Amino acid sequence: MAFEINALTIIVMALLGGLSAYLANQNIAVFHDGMRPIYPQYLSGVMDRKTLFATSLALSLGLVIGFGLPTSIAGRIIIIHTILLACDIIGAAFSDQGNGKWIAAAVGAAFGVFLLFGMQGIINVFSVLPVNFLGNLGTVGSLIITTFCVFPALVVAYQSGLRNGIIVLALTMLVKQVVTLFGSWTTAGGLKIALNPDGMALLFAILAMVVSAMMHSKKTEGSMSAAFSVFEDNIVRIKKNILILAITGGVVALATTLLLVAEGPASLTLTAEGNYNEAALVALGRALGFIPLVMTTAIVSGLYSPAGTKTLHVPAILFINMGIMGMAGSFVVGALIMAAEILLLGFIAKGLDKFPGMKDMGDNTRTAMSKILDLALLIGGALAANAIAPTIGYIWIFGLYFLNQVSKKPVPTMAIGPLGAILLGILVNILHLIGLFPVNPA
Amino acid sequence: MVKVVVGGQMDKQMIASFLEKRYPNQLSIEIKSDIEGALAIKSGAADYYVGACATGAGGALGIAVGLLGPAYTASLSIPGRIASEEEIKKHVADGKKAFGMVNNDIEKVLPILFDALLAKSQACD
Repeated sequence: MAFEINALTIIVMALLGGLSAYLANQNIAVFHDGMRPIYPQYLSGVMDRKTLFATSLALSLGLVIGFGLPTSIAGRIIIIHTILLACDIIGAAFSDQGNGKWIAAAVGAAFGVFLLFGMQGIINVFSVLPVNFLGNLGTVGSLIITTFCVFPALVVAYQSGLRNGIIVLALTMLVKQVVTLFGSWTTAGGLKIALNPDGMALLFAILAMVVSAMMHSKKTEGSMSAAFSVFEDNIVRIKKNILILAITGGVVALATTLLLVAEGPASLTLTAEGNYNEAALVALGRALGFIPLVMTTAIVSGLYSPAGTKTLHVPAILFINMGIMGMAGSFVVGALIMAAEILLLGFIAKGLDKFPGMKDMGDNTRTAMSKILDLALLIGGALAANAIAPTIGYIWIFGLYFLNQVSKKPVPTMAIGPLGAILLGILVNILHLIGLFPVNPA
Repeated sequence: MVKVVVGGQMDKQMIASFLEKRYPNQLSIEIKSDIEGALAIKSGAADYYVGACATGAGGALGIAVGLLGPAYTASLSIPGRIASEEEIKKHVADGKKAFGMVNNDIEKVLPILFDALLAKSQACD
């Protein structure tokens, strides 16, 4: 994995698991955006704890197993859903009365540490198999770096028409081409400066998207803030827990800086490859998509998210490899961002009608990003599978993709690439054992 | 005409065009934000809410659950599980009004759902 296992990372994973399980247990914060609005039913006594737990388990287990684990193993950093969704479930599993909270926190902490060793353990097992496919797993994410800059053009096309989308796409390509040709130079003092073409293309595209969203603001009836004014008690409830939420935010940021967790598949890949600036930019784009969703579900439920709007990942990524000061900075900035978000909740509730274009952009951003990732990870998975087994790799991924579509229990499309590549790696080792997959002497 | 709002959060355009093509002249479809969509159900301005996202429950349905309550909402697909035809029909019979699904399952879930919803509205007429 990308992280090291030492006293610090063990403690951080224990804290991350323990705090988030505690928050879910005490009905303060859950990571699943769909789980938050369920909690008021429990808090008002309509729903019992068992049903709350069953709902959390049903919503999250498929994501942890089908998406979290394969994406983490293929990408070599734990995708944060794996630990925080599991801790949603752990927190709901125990009573919120008496010692329940300490048991939940202990189980959450143990799970965090288990995940740390478990992930590394799986990688270690893979590395001693006769057919080594670990090196090829990285290929799964190889397209993300190049193709992610397409998503803003798609957002613009959704929001203000195909023509504008084409313009943004063409300019994005132009920026990349120009920066590739002319983006590096040596200053008079002999200092070499090189702009990253993918990063610059992505930066340009995101800026174009934000400008387009601000220009294209639909008028609304002004009913949204009125509807949200009845939820003021919920905002008060979240603010009461601002201290522990801020600390959790700090721990999430620190875990990101220590390469333990990543907020999404795209920034995960970029971080694992060492492209921190681009990873931060991607995380920022994703945060734009999640800010409205996390904040509005928080306001209607009275629960927040242990990772907030995911904005805290942006500085946390930039603090990677900056030593002890970077870690301290990451924790402090993460905690401050979390606190600032919570203090802004009331303002957001009142301002919903003023920025309809931004909410619209959030929805379109999530759609566009997931479409790009679905395809990039699928093709990446096919390339990785072909590298692992040129005879059957493409057949395997194509087959998995289409059969998954027919399945009554489909895994997310995004997970087909990572999951398929890992399963194929295991499969060729089984074939090797029975003599059907000879290893070529290198 | 049955009034449908497409709310949060992903692939709204795809849901709307899929429904328009499959049920021409039977549905009046409007794309809204999740908040406006849920409010339209609450005020009676619309009959049904559908939404999609990566989890079928968060961006798709979260705000609807918060504003309408779980008694009126159902996730018809979540990662790793799509509701059966019987389950979907039961949700409709139970009077649920807002439905969430994983965005990749739109074409599988919507026909069953809207066949049932339209059958129900014709039975009421």
